[in-house]
Amino acid sequence: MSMLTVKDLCIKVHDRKTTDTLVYDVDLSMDKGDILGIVGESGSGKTMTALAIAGLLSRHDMEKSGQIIFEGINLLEVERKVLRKIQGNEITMVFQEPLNSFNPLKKVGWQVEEGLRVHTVMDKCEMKERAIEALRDVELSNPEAVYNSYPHELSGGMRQRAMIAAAMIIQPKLIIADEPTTALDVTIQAEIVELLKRINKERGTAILFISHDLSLVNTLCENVLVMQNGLVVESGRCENIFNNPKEDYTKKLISAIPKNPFYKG
Amino acid sequence: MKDKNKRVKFIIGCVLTGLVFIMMLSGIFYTPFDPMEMDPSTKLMGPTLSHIFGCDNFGRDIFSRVMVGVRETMLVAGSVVIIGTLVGTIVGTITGYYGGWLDEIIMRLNDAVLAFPSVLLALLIIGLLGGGRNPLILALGIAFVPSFARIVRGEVLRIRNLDFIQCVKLYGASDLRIIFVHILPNLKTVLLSSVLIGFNNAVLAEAGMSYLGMGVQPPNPSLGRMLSEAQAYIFSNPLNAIFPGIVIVMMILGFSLMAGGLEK
Repeated sequence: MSMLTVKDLCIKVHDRKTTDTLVYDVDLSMDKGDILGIVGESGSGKTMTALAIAGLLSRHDMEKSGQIIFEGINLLEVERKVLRKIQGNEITMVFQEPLNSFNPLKKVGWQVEEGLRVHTVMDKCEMKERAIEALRDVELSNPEAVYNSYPHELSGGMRQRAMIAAAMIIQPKLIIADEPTTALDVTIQAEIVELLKRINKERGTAILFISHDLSLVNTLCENVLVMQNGLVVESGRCENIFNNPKEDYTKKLISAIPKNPFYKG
Repeated sequence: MKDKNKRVKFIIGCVLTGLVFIMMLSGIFYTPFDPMEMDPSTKLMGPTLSHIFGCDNFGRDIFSRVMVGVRETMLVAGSVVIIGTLVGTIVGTITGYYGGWLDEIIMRLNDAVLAFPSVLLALLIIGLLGGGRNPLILALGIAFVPSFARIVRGEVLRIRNLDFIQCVKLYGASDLRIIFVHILPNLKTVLLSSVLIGFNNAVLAEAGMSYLGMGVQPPNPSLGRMLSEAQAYIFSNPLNAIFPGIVIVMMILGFSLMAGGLEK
């Protein structure tokens, strides 16, 4: 059985009198160590799907139906306490905007440790060691300095690396990366993608990579899901979809890729 | 250029409030004359070297009374702001963080209190509880809660939706941890300037209420009380009203300038 299975996931928003459906019947499955890409234009429901998997959609005017089964537990039905244990221990997330992903008042090191602090009892020295190790692991050149700096003192790329370190410190089974490279420039994007690839290889962490950048998805992912207007248009192996797209929408998306050095196809 | 302006503002504000504070603190240990002692021979006397602010209609030294009165005013204003901030923060955080129908109900109540003129509300409460300092503090405290609750709720709403809160949520942090460790510390810049402005309003409200005879009871001096007592002699002895008034202005201007200097 696969690690994560999403079946018929529907997300509806009740806004006053009308009901808007944001995501229709999404199905996906991921195994341990998989890298799955979700691509699609803005508003296609990529992020909604990701947030639902992470269990972060708690708005009271939202209706979720279907199943999100993570290691045999349906995340949509489970009690909050159990969900909290799964979150953080098993699933973490890297967000799009690295500036907002850190609390501006606390040092980066402290925030990298936060996952450990919430889930385990650990003394300060050990926690610091783990945090610095995690920061070193994401190829930050001076982890001790980063540990002691505030978020605004770091560049966007460094912040995103630190974010990945914070996500990795509890050694989750699944990282959801919601457009982690959108706010970064092209060279840093490539580095971050390489980093995610390496983490995936070394640790066997599954990555759900959400992006509207098809070329990045092509370099990173094995499987891909193309979404449009809340619907999954096409899914399958990356090579298949990129080399021989079936749907019009996918063809258009692919033809819209500018020729850049990362584009293999 | 802009930064320099703000620093100058802040420094001037600090100097003004500093002066008032020195006056207030030294008033605890020493006043040139007994602020309660009446002396018919100095009745309505203008400023002299020994009585630098002059004397009031009972011959009491105005400078001494101001020194003691500032303390009373500060005490009332300080307590009012503390009540307002504490309750306002609690209400604002709960409504902002949890949202939903609880938010609707509490905020509509809040709006109702806010829509009611605060002085009128305070008058109502004092009418129920009787005059004096403690009912005044309670009354003004209640009147000050809604504006703080509003400010805090807005900020909490904004911060709650930032990615880092989602991140911490995902680590599995509890609501209490998110509120106390991650949200509340981020409120302090906003709270600081609204506390300073709130303090100003509280000083004015205290002065107003005492002026109406609802606050500090005679013979105890407070700045508002002194203004109200000086009112009868405003044309013959305007200085009686001007000196306590100047101290109020100094206090408020000082705090406003400090708040202005602290703003981002």
